[in-house]
Amino acid sequence: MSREESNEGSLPGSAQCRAYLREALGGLDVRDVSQAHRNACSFCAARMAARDRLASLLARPPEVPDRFSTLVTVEGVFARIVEQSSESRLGSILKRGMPSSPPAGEEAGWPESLLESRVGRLTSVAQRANSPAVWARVRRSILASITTAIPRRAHRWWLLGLASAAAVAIACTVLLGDSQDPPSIVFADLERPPAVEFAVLRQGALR
Amino acid sequence: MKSLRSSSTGVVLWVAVAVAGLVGSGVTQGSPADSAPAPPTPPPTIVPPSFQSMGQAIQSVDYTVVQLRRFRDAQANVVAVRECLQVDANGSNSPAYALTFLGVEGQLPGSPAFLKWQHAYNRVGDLFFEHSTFRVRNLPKAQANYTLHHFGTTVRANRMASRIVVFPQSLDKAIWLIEVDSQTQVPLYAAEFDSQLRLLSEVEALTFVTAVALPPPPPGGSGSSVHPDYASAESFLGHPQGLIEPNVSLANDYSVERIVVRVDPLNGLQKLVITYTDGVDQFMVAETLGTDDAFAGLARQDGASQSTNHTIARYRDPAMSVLLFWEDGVAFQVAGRGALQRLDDLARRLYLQALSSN
Repeated sequence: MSREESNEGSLPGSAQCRAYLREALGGLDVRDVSQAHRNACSFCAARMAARDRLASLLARPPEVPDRFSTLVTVEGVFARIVEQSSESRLGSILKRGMPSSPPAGEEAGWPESLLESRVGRLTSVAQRANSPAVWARVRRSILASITTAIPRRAHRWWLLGLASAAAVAIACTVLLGDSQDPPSIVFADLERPPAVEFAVLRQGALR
Repeated sequence: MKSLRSSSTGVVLWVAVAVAGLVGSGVTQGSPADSAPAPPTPPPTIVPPSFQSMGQAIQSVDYTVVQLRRFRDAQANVVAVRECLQVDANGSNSPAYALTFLGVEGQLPGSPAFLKWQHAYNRVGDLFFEHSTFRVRNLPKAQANYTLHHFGTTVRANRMASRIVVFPQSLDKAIWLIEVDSQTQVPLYAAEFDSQLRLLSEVEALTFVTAVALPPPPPGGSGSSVHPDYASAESFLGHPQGLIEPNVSLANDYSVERIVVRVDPLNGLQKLVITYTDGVDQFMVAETLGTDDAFAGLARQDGASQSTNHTIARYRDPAMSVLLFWEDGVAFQVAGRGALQRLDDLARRLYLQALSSN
């Protein structure tokens, strides 16, 4: 028997391995026989060692960065997704195909009993199941947006290329054509009055 | 604004007191007539001078005056020259006149100094009358840019005169102390000060009579022609290359007074002279044609190429600013009084204008 267990224990995934792992990973008391199997079975020993490593790692979950944990950031992401979706063509189709119902419960802003009253039942809008035609229109709009986005993207690349070429041409023209520096004017002070009429006016005969 | 006005008033009072002291102490070398007794009765009616009355006198009064003109150089050396000015009014701001050199005070006739000054008067004597003393040149501009402050009466050249300080709105211009003949409103004494109260020029009448007998004009005329605008002057010169119409927007309180084409008596070259005035003060822009580049031999600075580095030669003392530059065969000259440092920017802009138009 012990020889048989020893032979079976050398096979990964044998019945003894499954029994041992069921006891060990399930948090049950491990019997002596099973403990001996672990010592003899490298497969089970590796699994248990892996469990110990993972347990230590899982015991210390990574910290969430502050900017991701703030409510404003998360709400901003949600709001952006909603805005982008609602402004797209798909959003408008969904808006028409799935009219929103008033919120129920505490978010409705009025007591639950009011919704359950006769007036509440009369004013509530029954949810309609979307017809297959609406979903077909959604599918067609998605396919249409994909097919139109491809040539638009190509057109955008063409425009970008043309703008780059124009910028390079203008830069070359400016650099090659206007190689002269702007004129610089300097003042040179004279020590004696120059022989001009105004000097004669102010000082008389030049001395 | 209030403090500026109060400081200006203070300076005016200071000028009045200082100049009155100068006159009283004989620094101006007053004539013997200063100490002469007052004219006999009846006392003449004294009309307070104004810019308008002085401007009308230029247009309507004939007179002959013998006067002393005192020149000061940068070292404050003074030379007093006696001259005779005869003015024949013609209803315009440019009366007919004749200025005759009589002599140099303290120098015998025929001495080297006498001959040198006689020669200077023969060459540029006309300019002394045109540019070198107080005159109301543009009545609206004078009223806008200057204020008059009266400081009583005096006797000058045996005539009753009103003493006035003409104070500029902008302190980069000259302050004038003048004594105006009470009867004719012609200035009999004019002293020019800068904002530091340095005396820059002085003209003092010795004798004054309201009569004139102009000598005949010299044969061949004066060699200058007055033009109503730049286009006319340019056409007169034959549209030479390099000539520009100055853009003087930098000095908005000045406007064109005269545009003259004349032959420079110093070098015989034809030149266009545009005179600008603010009513009393003047500056000139002169463009002399057909000259060589006087700056060609100067070493270029900063390693810049010869075509991009340009030089303006500048001379400045309390009495004058002269800026010279050359472009495309034309020698440019911007000249005005020493405190008018705006002329630096004006010269720089004119140089750029000349470079861009050639």
